[in-house]
Amino acid sequence: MTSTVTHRPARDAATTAPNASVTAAGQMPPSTTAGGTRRRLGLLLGRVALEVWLPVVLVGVWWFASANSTSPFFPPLQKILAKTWQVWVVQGRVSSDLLPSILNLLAGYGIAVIVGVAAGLALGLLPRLLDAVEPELEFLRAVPAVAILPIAIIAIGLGDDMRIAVIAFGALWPILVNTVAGVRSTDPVVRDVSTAFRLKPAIALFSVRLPSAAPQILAGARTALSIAVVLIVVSEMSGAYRGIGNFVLAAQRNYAITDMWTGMIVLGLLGYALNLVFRVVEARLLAWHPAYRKKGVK
Amino acid sequence: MSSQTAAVIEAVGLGHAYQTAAGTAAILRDLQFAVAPGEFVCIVGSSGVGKTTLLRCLAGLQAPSEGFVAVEGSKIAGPSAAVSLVFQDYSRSLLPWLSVIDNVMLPLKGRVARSLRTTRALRALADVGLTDARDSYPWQLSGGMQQRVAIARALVFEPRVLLMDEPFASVDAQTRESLEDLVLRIRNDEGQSVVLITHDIDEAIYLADRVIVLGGRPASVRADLAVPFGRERDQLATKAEPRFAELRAEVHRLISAPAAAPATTGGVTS
Repeated sequence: MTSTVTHRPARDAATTAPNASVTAAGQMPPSTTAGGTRRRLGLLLGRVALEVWLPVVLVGVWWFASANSTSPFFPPLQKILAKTWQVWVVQGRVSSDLLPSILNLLAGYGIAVIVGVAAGLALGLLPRLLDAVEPELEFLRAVPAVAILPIAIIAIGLGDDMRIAVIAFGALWPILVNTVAGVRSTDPVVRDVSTAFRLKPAIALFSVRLPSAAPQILAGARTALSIAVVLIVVSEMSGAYRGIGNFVLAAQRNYAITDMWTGMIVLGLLGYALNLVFRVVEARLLAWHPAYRKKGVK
Repeated sequence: MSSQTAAVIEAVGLGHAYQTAAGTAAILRDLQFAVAPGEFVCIVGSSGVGKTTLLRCLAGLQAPSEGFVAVEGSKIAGPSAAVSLVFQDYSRSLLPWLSVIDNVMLPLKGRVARSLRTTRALRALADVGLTDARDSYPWQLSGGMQQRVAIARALVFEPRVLLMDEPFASVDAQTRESLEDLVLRIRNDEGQSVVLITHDIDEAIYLADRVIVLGGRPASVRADLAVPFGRERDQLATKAEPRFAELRAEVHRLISAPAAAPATTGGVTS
């Protein structure tokens, strides 16, 4: 999940869609008849099948391979899943641990998106500003977000503010860098359109430069999202009394290995769900982009 | 600066040179011409002669290194509100994230109230016969329809001059003829001046009241020819006129003539 350029402008959506599961959608014909609805349903099921076959196989292998496991480190999957239900749903850790983590994630990620896009636009549009601050940016970008943790604790403390800051810091860079690259790669003809029609600066920015950079901004935002999920755990390494990261780390320290595994499963499900939401938002924002077009007439 | 002049756009001693690694490459030299209100002027020249550089100077997208461009008697320092532009490549000049009507309204955004924007955009779309496509996206339309959207966008703020850079170079022959007639009709109905750049001699003579032939390196005006067919043209009848064939031969000869002034002052010099 570190690739930053996943969107290539291409005419053929079916062969160049950014992720495999969209490939099936490229074959979906736009039809509205009753038979068409049934065919669409069939294609949707096919698409779901394409998405889930590998997880089903892997879970099956895990299930049977671990069924008779006596190792304390690798408990049977059946036991892990039962415990997951017990710990997260019955004991209510979804609201006491998962929810606070998600709220920190959304706050940190939201800050990263706003700051990253705003600063990226400014730096992309003002080459001299970029020249002036580039060494500092490269320096900060090279600092792993994990290494920021001790400084953040000293500067901000042990509360949620610190965790939000760590997530925001880590998620910022892919968004910022991709926004700069996206803004700078605006087609010269599009820039000429903006100049020749004497667009007001705000309109040139919001109707022209920002949408033209959107594919790259979203590629950066997608990378940033997976970084943010990692940083949930990292940010709860110190001073946390709740949160899914804290739960996993505490379980591991206390040799509650099955509990630790349940945390892994919930984290995985969280990452998957977030990516799903992201894909919906992305497909909506980039509906005009060749890779997402539904009805490419002519 | 507003001297009393009949020209709506004029090039005054216009010259341009690019700085390259090899030195200075002179593209245009001492161009002098004026376009009257309502006049249709075609500028022809072989490819690479500097037609696009000239158009960019006329549009205010590029500052000439010598001389200047005047619009309605005033020297311009950038794009003018009286001048509009249709780009060669509609697939790049129309914004794919905006619907047809939003593309057409773009030049009015921030200047005209929303309801008026819609009214004027719909009128411009009606002028090019595309009212039905208002909510489509440009990429859902054929090439000819896309270029009509670009023409509607160029007309929406009622410019005095329409500049067109090889606007029909990438559509098929039949679409091209219908777009040519569309532009002629719009000029006849609404009275803009049109400056159209092309490498197609037939197209230039068919459309223009005057054909300006560029040639040489750096390019200068080789000829400024009046085309005597009046305002109503017909793809078959006009092209069958004896004078059409004569003009065609003359422009052809002018374009392919060797450089009149060899590289004494021009060419690549450091």
